[in-house]
Amino acid sequence: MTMTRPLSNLALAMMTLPIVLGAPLLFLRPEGAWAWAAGMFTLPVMWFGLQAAAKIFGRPIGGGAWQRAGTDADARKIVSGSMILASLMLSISLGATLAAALGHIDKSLAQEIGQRSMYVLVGCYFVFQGNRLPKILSPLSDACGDPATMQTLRRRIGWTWVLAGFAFAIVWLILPENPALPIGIAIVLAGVLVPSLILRYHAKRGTRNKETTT
Amino acid sequence: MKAYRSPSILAVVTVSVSAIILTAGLLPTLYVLAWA
Repeated sequence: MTMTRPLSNLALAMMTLPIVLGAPLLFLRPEGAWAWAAGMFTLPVMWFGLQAAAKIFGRPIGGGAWQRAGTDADARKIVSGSMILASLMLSISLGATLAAALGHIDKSLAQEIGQRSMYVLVGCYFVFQGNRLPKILSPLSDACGDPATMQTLRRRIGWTWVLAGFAFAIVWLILPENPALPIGIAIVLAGVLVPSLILRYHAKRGTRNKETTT
Repeated sequence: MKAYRSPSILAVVTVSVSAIILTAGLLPTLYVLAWA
């Protein structure tokens, strides 16, 4: 709980990094102004849009009912973590482009740095979400089907997300682009999508069983 | 507790919001890289 506030503050602070890195590009390479502006302002616009939407619907993100459900801190951590990863993606790409515009590195190297760091951070996202998955889902009293089975399933799926995320990040760190792309897609399919579908199938079956028994 | 009655719906909303945020990072990054 004590880590939640600094993480939210870090997420807000990180949103300014793409703006700082993108602003010089507007002057150095004005032909790509729309791209730099998109990189600079998408996250702040989205963040304030989400906050506004949450206010319209009557509750801040991660507040109100979250607290009663005991998931407030987790919700904030997940949203803040995603925000930090998204900001990092944009910052690294804009930073590499800025370095290329200033003549410190090649254009092709800037593109490679941006692309690889983006995929590595996507891998980190799966690790981060997989780690939280068994902790954020509904309390056992709310689980569909047998609570112990559901919790075991969530923990295992969390593990596969973590391992798939690590593998995805490592593949994009060490392999050339050509084999990295198909291998990365295969890892996401096998390690993230299939386990998620299994969880969904079990949850649906559990709900059906619950309905028939009541 | 009107809008989100079940904690499992809360979890789904959180995961969806985080996925949307990540996508909001991915798409402009691809756009930036196309111009880099």
